[in-house]
Amino acid sequence: MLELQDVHSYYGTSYILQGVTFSVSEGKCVALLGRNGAGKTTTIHTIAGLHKSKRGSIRFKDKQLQSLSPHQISHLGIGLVPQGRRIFSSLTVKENLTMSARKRKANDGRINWGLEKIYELFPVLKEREKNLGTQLSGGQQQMLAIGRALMTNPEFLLMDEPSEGLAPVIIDQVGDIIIKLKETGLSILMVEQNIALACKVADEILIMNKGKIVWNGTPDGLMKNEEIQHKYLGV
Amino acid sequence: MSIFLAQLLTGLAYGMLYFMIAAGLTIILGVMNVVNLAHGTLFMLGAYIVFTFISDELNFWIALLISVLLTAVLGIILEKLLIKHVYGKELEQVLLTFGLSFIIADVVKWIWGTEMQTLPVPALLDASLSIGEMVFPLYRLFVVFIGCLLALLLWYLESKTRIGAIIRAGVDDRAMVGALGINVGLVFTGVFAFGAALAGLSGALGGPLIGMYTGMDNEILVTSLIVVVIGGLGSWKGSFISAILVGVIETFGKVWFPSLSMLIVFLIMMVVLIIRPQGLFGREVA
Repeated sequence: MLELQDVHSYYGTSYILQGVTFSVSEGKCVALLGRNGAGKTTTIHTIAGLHKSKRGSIRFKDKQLQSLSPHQISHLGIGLVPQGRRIFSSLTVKENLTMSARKRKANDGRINWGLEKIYELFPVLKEREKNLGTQLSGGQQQMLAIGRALMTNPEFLLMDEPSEGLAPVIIDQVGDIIIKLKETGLSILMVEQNIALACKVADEILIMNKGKIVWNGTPDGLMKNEEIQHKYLGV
Repeated sequence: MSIFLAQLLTGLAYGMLYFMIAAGLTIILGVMNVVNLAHGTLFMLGAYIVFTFISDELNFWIALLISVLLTAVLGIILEKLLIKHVYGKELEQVLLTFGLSFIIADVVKWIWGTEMQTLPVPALLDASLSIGEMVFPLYRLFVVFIGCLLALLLWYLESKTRIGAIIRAGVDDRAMVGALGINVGLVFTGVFAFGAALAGLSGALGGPLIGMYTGMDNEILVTSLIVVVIGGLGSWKGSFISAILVGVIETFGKVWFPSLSMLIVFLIMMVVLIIRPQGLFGREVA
């Protein structure tokens, strides 16, 4: 569904993505792991169009993404749950959800996400719908960020460190939500630092180091391979 | 007493006029981070467009509508052609918009000449309202009414509509708004056109009050910049309060201390900035 082929990208003069190649098939959840500075967030930003790649191809359902702007990429069906959540601070919880709302284009029998459906999935957001987005706890903000992306009815979700800064019990909840979303048929590419969460929800693990994918395999394969864990993830 | 009230109404009418001008300026500043120094010339253009169409025997209101539409279209053209290339580049913005103000001002001189002109008060409002011994010109009451109506409209658009939420979100985090599928470029064009249309509207309504003359564009620009600074950059609510303040104080200043009237306005700005550097309703800057 999503396919990156030899993608290179720069921030100023620093060479961040040095030929990234991988793909995510429909309905799968792929987790991208790696140390800080490995290029994980840049990968997400490059797919979402927030950062332009210099070379290589990014294909989503047979469309090339690299020359499109972020809003066009979003309209192709890619949703973003960004690092740090980036909740709009001057909007209420409800406004954060409704400002980006878009109906599902394809009639493919999947859930058509709307305010009611989001509130069903995250009842706490309904309770706090009149609060400003930034008055929520970290976990609630993460749910709001996920809900906001779902409101655009994406077929593919980019999640950048959904566990960042959350208490362990909340991380478990986020994991359950991601599994639920996968069951609705959503394909997911997730960047994580939390290996346990990644292995719990993902079908495939990619490990990134210095701008390249250096390992890929199943969660089981990663758990058994202590050398890789030690070498690239600092476990 | 009646003179005092009449002066107060005059001050309020000027204040509302300043508000209508400053609203466009401050909205463009708040949303797009652009100080549009051509805003004063758009105001002047608005007045001259009405002047032209009224001479063609059109009714004031139709001329006003044409003026608002034409300034909005000009706003779209300016944004698409020029302004959009200088987002995030402050020095370029200043040079570009200041240059535009010279060009538009010269075009105005070329078309309409340098003679002082006035717009007639529309027939419907060319009357006075007498309450007891007090006489209020109807047109001034009307300008105050339109100013309040505009404030109400802005409040509604900002806090009750989806486009208002999108614009506020854009001020918080522009890139994220784009990543959620909203065409930020289109929003910016719309906001700039809206701001330009407000300049045109206030020019049309201001024509009968202050007339048209060479240099009015800069005078109006300076006054509206003061209003924006006192009110807090980017806050139209702040501009509403500060415009009333400036209009009323300036009017009374002209009566009581004729030689100091402009100075007084600057003094208020100084005092406000000393006490609240971010302006009355400005966002705090860390």
